Amino acid sequence: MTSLQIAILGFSMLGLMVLRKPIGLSMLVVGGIGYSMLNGVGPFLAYMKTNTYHQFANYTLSVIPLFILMGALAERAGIARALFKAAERGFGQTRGGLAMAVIGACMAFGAICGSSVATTATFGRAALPELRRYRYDGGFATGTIAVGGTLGILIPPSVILVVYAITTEQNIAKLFQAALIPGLLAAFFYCIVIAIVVRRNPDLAPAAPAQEELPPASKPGWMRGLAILLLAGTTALWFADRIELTLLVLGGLLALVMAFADLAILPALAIALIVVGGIYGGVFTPTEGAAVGTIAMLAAGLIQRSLSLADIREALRQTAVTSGMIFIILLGAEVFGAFLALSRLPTVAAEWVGGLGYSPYLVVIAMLAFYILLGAVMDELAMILLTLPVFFPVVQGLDFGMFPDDVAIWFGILVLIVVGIGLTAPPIGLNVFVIHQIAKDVPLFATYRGVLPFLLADVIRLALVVAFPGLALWLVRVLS
Amino acid sequence: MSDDPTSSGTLWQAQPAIDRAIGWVAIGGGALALGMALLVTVSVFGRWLFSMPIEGDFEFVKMGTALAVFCYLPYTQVQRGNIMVDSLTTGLPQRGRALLDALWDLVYAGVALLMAHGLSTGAMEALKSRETTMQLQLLVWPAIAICAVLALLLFFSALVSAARLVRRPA
Repeated sequence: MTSLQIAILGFSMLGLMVLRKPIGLSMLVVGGIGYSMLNGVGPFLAYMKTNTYHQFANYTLSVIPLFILMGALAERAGIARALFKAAERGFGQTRGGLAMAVIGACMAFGAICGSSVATTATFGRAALPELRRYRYDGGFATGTIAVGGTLGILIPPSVILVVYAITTEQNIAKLFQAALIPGLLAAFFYCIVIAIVVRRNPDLAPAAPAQEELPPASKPGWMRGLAILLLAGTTALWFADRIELTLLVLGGLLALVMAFADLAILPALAIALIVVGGIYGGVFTPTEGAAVGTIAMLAAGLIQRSLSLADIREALRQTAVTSGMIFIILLGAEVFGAFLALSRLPTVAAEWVGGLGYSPYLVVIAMLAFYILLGAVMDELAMILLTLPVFFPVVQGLDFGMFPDDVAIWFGILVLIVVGIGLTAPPIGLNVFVIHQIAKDVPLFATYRGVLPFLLADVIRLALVVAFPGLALWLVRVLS
Repeated sequence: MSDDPTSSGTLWQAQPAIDRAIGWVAIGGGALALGMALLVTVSVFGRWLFSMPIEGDFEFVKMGTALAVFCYLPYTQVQRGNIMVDSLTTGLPQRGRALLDALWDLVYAGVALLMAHGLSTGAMEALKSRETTMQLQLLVWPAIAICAVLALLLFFSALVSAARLVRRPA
């Protein structure tokens, strides 16, 4: 058998996955057998000797458990409720305002949580009761939360982007930068969808809470003064060349938050600004950002007394399950990737696709369509780890008239958007299942119907980012 | 081992103890991640305020990540947290699905045993060569050895979860 035939046999052996074989295990076993067939059993055993250790003893990988821990702590620290209450005051009066408040709060929460499942679960508990209290249609409410949950990954930090960065050896900070504008665009589009849907069918969101029913803001009068002082101070320091532009922007944003938002969400927004801003500005590495964010979240929860010891223990347990799930897939993908590289299938595939002479954009669109189909039946994280060893070299071999690194970043954002679609699209949208666990009285079908208009907006956004790579790459250029 | 067919095997009897151990190991791994976060945070502030980072903090982070992950794997397994495609087997009876899961648990147990074996030989070699980290000259073998032990725990956790599925299908 030629090495290519072995590689193709390997891919077909992955088919055992349809028989409930865990995805990480499938890649490990197939990768291991394939490696042994190509290179011999001895070299594979040697590879296994320390590779499992050295694979995990990786500085870059440490961001994954840290970001998951940070999100798990945020989930229990009552951050989501505070964000939702604040957004409710902002949007409450407009028709469908509570649904827009969910999107706004999810967006802010997405800046401290890198997982869409965690975001969905958090807002399923923090916001759904409120939506139901104002007699929002069940499927519209759950659909909005399922879609809002995707902002957990669309807005950086994002575990999916970290995994993409590690697999394709790209810079995590740059990918986080590139994700910001498409992520904000997503939230904006979702709000437009809500406005249109509610206008066409007012029964979905019958009541808007009266002004006096909205929770009062907790904001002392001196806050604005302090905000002005902060803004003036950072500007003066910048003029005097004492601080960099990034710090000025950070200070300005913080001042804005202090002036217009209320005190309850200040810790959340401050942590988000420090983590995301710090990584953007190159003040610290993603691992350092995740570490500082985790400790800040823990400190905020302890000071506000919203985190009990039991909460922390539960957050640690949840971190263990989620990280364990991700890392076994990462290990499987590493072994499988090593096998594929030995088989030379990725190189051959890249040359073959390049030789076909199709427009590079057509190839990317075909890949994205394939991802949407595959994402309908498969876990999104596993899907990208499984396909990237082949797809990424193909994309890198195409000529888009851009630098290869730019193409890699742009493609990462496209993959991220497609993953977001897969998380909510029927028949298997993980977020939809998560919200269904919380709101069992709403039929799955109703939630999918609620999700549908948002999916249309997702496809439009995907098309926009395909057509205008600048939406992703502009901020990267500005910040570098 | 007793003659009573419902309680054959010491592994089955040791099940609650293994479960508890797995739970504590997972919490320990989480605490390790929290400790890593604290160390890095102190280092970042030290660098920022006094230009004095903690030297070689990244070497602790590297080692800590590997140890934490190996602490998580057994817990993920017993919590059935590993992701699989279940959309195409919904037609199967409950018992059939449980047996399939048990089969893959056994395969996973085999892989874990292979990992434990590989890691223990790796630890021995690192011990012999006195391999250390670049900056802090930390010995690497104890970390690899602990990972080998944790891989063995993963082996047992996969066996226990397989046995559980066969005995009382979920």
